[in-house]
Amino acid sequence: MIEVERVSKQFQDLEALREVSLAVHKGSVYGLVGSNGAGKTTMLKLLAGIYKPDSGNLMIDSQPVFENEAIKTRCVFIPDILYFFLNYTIQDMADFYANIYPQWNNQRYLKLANVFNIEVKRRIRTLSKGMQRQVALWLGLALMPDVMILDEPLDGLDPVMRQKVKNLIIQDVAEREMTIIISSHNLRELEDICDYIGILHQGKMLIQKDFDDLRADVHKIQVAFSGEIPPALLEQTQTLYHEQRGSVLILIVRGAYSEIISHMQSYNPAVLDILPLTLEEIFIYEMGDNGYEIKNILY
Amino acid sequence: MKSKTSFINRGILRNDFKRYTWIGIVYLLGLLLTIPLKLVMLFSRPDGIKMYYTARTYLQVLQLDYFPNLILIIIVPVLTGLLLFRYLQTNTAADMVHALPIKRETLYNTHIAAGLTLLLVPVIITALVSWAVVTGLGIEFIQGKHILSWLGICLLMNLVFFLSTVAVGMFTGLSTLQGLLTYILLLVPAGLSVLVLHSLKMHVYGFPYDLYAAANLDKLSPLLRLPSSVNIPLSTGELIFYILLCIALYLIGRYLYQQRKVESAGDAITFAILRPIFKYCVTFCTMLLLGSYFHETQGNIIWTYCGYLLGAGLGYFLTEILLEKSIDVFHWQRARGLGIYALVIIALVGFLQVDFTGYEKRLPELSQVESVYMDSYFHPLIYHNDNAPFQPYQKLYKDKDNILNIYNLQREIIAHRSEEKGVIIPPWSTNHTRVCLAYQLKDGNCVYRDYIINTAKYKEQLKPIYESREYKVNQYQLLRVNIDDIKLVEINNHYGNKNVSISDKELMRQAVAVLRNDIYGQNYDNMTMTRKPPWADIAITLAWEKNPPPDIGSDVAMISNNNTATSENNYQIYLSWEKSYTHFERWLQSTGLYNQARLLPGEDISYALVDYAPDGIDRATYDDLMGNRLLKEKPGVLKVSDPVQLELCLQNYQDSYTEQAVYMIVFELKNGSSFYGLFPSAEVPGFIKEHFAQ
Repeated sequence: MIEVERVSKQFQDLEALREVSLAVHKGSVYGLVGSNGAGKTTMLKLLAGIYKPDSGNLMIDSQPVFENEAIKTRCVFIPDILYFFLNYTIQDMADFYANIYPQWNNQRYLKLANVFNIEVKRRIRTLSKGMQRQVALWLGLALMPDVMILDEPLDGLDPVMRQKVKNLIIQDVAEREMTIIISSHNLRELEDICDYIGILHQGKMLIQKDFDDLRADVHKIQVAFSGEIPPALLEQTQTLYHEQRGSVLILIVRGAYSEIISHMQSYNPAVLDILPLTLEEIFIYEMGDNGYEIKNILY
Repeated sequence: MKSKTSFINRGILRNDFKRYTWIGIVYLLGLLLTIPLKLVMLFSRPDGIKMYYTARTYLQVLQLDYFPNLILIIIVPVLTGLLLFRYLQTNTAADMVHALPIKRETLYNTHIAAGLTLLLVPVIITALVSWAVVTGLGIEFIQGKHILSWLGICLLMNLVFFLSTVAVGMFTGLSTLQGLLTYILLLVPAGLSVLVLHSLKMHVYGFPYDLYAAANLDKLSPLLRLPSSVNIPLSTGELIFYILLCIALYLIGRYLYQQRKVESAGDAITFAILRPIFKYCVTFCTMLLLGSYFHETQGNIIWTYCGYLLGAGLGYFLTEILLEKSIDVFHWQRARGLGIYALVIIALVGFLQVDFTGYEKRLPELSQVESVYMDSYFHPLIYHNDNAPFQPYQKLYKDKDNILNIYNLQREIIAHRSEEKGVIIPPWSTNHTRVCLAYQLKDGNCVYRDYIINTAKYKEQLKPIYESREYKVNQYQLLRVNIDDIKLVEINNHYGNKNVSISDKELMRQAVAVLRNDIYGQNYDNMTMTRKPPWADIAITLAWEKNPPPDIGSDVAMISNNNTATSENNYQIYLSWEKSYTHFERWLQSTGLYNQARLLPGEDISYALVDYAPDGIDRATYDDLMGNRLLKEKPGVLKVSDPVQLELCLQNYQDSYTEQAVYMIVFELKNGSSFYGLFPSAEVPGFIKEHFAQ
């Protein structure tokens, strides 16, 4: 669906993105994570066809996005800093989009009015930041996009609204196979909705993972032995991290779940526990390999 | 899914109208108030006032220099351009709009279409309403063609200003700068020309700045051309030029929009390649501006160079601040650009100073010269208009000897140019003469030069020119008029109310003949020693059918309008009865008019008082002393009442201030008035010297 190949973008003397590649499949949710200034917004604006890449390819459905009306009609971009025309009410804005996008769904717009529960006659600029964000999503969803590009969409929303928004988005993904690329500086926030995660740091893609693979691939194991820890224990496993607390050994191991369990059990441990791993931890340990201080990137 | 590119996008167009129709309405209201309403107001005035109305009174409303109209046309199109493309200059708006599924070209075309509608519709409606008012009220002075011409120019200029604003908006990312740069760019061709010409005047000896600066520079700027179109209507060529300009501006804007990066909103200049160009252009302009300003106000070459330095520094660092959006630009690294610029400018000024092109020492090929124009200004050449009923008289020299004389004068000036170059002579200096030359060459080319020379230094070269018959004919209108056109000769002396009027044909003929004799007989010294006041002023009244003949030109005073009986106009030319006009003096004596024509000692003047002029007296003190009659009868002051001595004083006194003044004199008239003067050492009558020697 979305293919980005070695895309670079330079702003005057600042290199915002350097040879970034990513791919998002139809109907999946891609989370773009990175600290401020990592290049997330630039990446998303490139995908929305606002910026023109300096080099590399940027395709949606195998077509370049920039200046492509047909592709852009199917995409909705909700930026981190919203813009609405001066003095426009929600209805005015809806009329505007209805005039521009042929697939504008007025039924959906009216239906969503109940979800968001904001008076359509209100001037958008008089609304609070959180409410404006809701309006943007509301209008965006009424456009029935195939691709939704969301820049920090949950920023400024209260927890209840956050969940509501996530649900709405996920619903569209499930029902209509909508594709989503969403950015956040907070990995935890994306944990429950993303299929893929990409981490940008200083304009470069550090790591990209299929979330399910990741979960299936990395495990946190707590083992204890009554006697000595068998020296061969770690030799045949791909250990990302190990820590010994007394006789208890905590391991972060990469590999197939069943293989690891059977491998561990072959040493007859006194205790063998599989502990849950947060997304954040997975990344921290994954990155540990690459020698990055992930905690400085994700907070 | 729709994928074909449309020329405009209806949704965007509708949105533009929704947001900006108020501009069109305000514009329409403004135009309706300034034109049709004004016509109704003029028409509704009481008949007593209206009877003085002419076609002009009404037509002025439709003229584009009519202030309210002018302001609307200059401001509204630029404002419309700024507002319609405002979204390009704010990041959030630019992102929002460019995320829409609309191509840049379509966006551009749509906003242009919206702008044109908002601007042109009010203008057309105003023209229609004005036409309805004129027909409805029956204002005969205004015809359809007047309204059409207003409509045409108004539409065209609206287009020029609007499209300029849009095109400028593409290479700047700040709305304020966009507005400012639009007006600056609309003025720059004319403004920069003036500055460059003025600099050439400062650095190139003999450069005829006035000639070029006055040559319709307004034609280089649509902003100046709009009001000046009232006096000089736009020519077909200009109309075509402006139409092509509009097309070019539209295409430039479209191209730049496509090249422009959305993220450049907020940058002073959105294209990296234009930034140094912008920076050095501004530096150049401010440099010339301050240099010329200091040159004009201070009249000193040191000040001029200080102005250059200050102007260049100011322009350079201000643009740096603007481009970097930071005042942290004062680093040695940044100053390097200014340093290179300075070296280029120094080299350029150096080239001009050493006369790299040979301009200063270039003389035309003598054999190629057909005629020479020589005067103390270029005015008659500048204001030469083939369509005007009469032209200013041009002092042309065609005589071989005179061409050689003038050529020699110029050669001498060129030979001494190193002494004069860079010396700034105040225009009021009485020791200097301005020489404006225009050689007409046989191949059709012209060579122009403008010098200010020290009169005394070039006496040897000036003398043969001044004493030539051709010079005198050029200089004195009396030598160019037909005696049969003369209706009256009057001799007036305003101190003593002594007047002579001659209307007898034969006497007039004689008077003019002797005056001509005297003028032809004048030598260089007589002609340049103008400090001895004339005996009296002579006014000659002439009558011509309608306009003066071409060899008189426009420099005559019309004293009465159409003489209905003869359909002639009366004009007057003036000259002085100089003390050196001896033939005229003898002729007056022979006709018995002499005593009536001048002030006589004893008869008109009762006495005169003479005193030392204080050492080193300056003009102000002298004027104060004499103008307030502070020279009074007291011991030490010589009182002259002997008619012979008085006559001697009258013959020799000067009335204008000179530094060589030795004695001051005041003449007291019997009628109570007085006039004063002074004697320089060379002109003191013997008896005064003797008196004060004691």
